[in-house]
Amino acid sequence: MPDATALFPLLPGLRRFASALLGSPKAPADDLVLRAIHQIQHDAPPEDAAHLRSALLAALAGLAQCEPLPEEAHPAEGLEKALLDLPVAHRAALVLINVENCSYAQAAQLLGISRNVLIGRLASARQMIARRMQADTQMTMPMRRQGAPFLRLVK
Amino acid sequence: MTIHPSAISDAELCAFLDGEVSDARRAELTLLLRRHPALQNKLNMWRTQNSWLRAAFAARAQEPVPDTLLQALPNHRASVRTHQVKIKQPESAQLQAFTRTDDDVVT
Repeated sequence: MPDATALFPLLPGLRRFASALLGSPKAPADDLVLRAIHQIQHDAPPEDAAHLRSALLAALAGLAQCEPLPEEAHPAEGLEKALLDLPVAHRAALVLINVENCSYAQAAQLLGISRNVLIGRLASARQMIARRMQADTQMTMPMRRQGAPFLRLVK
Repeated sequence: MTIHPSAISDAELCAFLDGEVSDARRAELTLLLRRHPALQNKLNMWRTQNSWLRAAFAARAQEPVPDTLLQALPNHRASVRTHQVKIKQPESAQLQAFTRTDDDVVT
């Protein structure tokens, strides 16, 4: 059973993956991380850090696919909204490759799909977000959101 | 080389972006992209997405893990203690050694 010492170094990355899967709210993401840890304890959890991380990422992706997004996950706009509007399987593929730096082989294995299916999901996820980027002027200029609005709606 | 840009699928463009094509194919695709701005634009847009996505979630991996999560970990008490000792021991050992030398000089 992995104890807290083995899990410590993995927690920041696991929290990041869980947040990206669920939208940004922290409490549900942390809850998902905890459930993933409990889940792999029932199987025979791998001893070495790399395999332990893969097992936990796989458990997180599996859990996220089985449940609706938490209530708090309602980013109004921008990239996070576009990401959350993707089917969860596509979101998991994109985040594993883009954010968690998994190889195609790793990501396909831990999602339990073939390399071709993985690439298919990745490509359509990227295209879906790209279409949103083109449609949403605020998304093409995300920096503007922090300061004064670039375009103001005049009624 | 006479590859038509329509021969490049989104899937292959993805693999190119993610460094998952062979070196030979990479060289071919690089040349092809130079001659086809539409493909290059698509690739650039995906690159922008990549950096936004990374930036959007980078902070989450840098913030301290909340106590509520740490305390809920299996065996957390025993291992937290071990973890802290591992980190703090060298510092305090050095400090003791330093203090002792100082005392020795004084006496």
